[in-house]
Amino acid sequence: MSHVQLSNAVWERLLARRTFPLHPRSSVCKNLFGRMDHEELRRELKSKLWEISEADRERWDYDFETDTPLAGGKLEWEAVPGEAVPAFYRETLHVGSKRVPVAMIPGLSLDGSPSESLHQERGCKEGEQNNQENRLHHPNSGITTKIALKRTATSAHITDFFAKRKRTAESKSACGIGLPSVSPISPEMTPRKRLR
Amino acid sequence: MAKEVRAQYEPVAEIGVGAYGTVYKARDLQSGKFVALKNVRVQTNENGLPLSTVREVALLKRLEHFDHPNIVRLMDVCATARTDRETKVTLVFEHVDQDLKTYLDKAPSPGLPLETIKDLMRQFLSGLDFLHSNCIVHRDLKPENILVTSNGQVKLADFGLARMYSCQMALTPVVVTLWYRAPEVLLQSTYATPVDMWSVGCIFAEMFRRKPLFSGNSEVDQLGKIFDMIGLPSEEDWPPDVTLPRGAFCLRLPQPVEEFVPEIDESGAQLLLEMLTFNPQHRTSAFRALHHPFLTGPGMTGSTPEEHPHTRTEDVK
Repeated sequence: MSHVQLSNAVWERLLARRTFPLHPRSSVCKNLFGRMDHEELRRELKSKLWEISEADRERWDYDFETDTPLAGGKLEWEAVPGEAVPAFYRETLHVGSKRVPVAMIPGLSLDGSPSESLHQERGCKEGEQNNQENRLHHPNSGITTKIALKRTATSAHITDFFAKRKRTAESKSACGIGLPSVSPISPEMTPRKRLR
Repeated sequence: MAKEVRAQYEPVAEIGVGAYGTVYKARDLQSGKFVALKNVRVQTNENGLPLSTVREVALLKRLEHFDHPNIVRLMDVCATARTDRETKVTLVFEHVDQDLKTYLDKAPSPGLPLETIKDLMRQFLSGLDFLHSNCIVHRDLKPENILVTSNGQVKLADFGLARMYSCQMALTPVVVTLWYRAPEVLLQSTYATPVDMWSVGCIFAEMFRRKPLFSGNSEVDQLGKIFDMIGLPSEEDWPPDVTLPRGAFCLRLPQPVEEFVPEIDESGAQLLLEMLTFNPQHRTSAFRALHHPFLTGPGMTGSTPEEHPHTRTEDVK
């Protein structure tokens, strides 16, 4: 190794390419535009968002942040009870890919602790008897409610998302390659299984 | 038990509050048109809005470019972050007074005239064909999701769960409301656009009956009610990859449609059976149904099913 002769030209080339091990390599990235000012970026983003919401506000004479109509514009706003409009327009809550009308979850609070109804829901999860019962009571609407309640209770944790992905992958592959999956329809299984 | 107690007390809590919250609607003083706001509260994670929500919004906006007459107009999407964990997405939709459910409830006693049903069905199928040719399975068609304007214009709504589909993909179960669910969904087999056609069949029958056709209270019960009408499917039609065997159901023969939908005529009954076909591969499509004699045949007051210029995008590709 030490006998290898390198011409000056080769040296220079190697140095320029930095392939020659002059010093141990580090994971250095090229910094073309100087140090990033995170604070500035945040400020810029904030002002851009403010601009957008201000434009929304002016376009619709409506304060989307506080959910209040603004008077004196080209739109005449009116607050109507949810019952007076098709169900489609009522407020919904998205948790993962599931969706549920907000009004169906009494005492729901996303930021605070789970409400009493959530605790009840958790209680129900213990026994499938209760689940079956519940489904019979609300064959059409109870199903989606349960999804949201369950999700809401744990939504804050990142682990919830991991678990969800795993399940999705399992069920997908089971159906995809035509492997017989566990029947969720058999009465022994808790219906909850399929609701994820 | 706790469930029952809660159910018992629910009406009390509803007093004065409004069980379904408040919806804001507005009249544009220039055009005289109405808009309504639909708030969607989305739980966010450390990366902000979930990708699925972003995709759903993109999908709604993309569809909007086509301006299809039988799809509810989306005028704007405004998002505001409420907290670290929640973002409120406000969808500004055109406001339509009623959905098909209230429309049917309000229909006077002998029920809807045959011509009205044909007109509603043509519009309904035209909107659905538009979705299907854009590779969108609605997956939750029910009378509540079909808006009917005061001029009798049908507008499909609620694509909150509508997704792009791929042929190989087994979509997640529990998306269609039980009563309008296709057998393959109930059996947890793979499925695609035909699931919507099953729902169309159920809604078609409901237009005559003014009450749901199959109102089961569990998957097995729902399947049982379906087989009471269409008969137990043959062994070769039964999906091979499901765990619920055909043998779990007792043998039943197909019953005449008129027994379930007395007001329907012969051609309508034939179309209904093409929609309520157990095997999704043999079920009719929205495009084919639009050309069925029931909807194109003589004695029709309306025009022949006209195709929206942008309806079939697959022709353009």
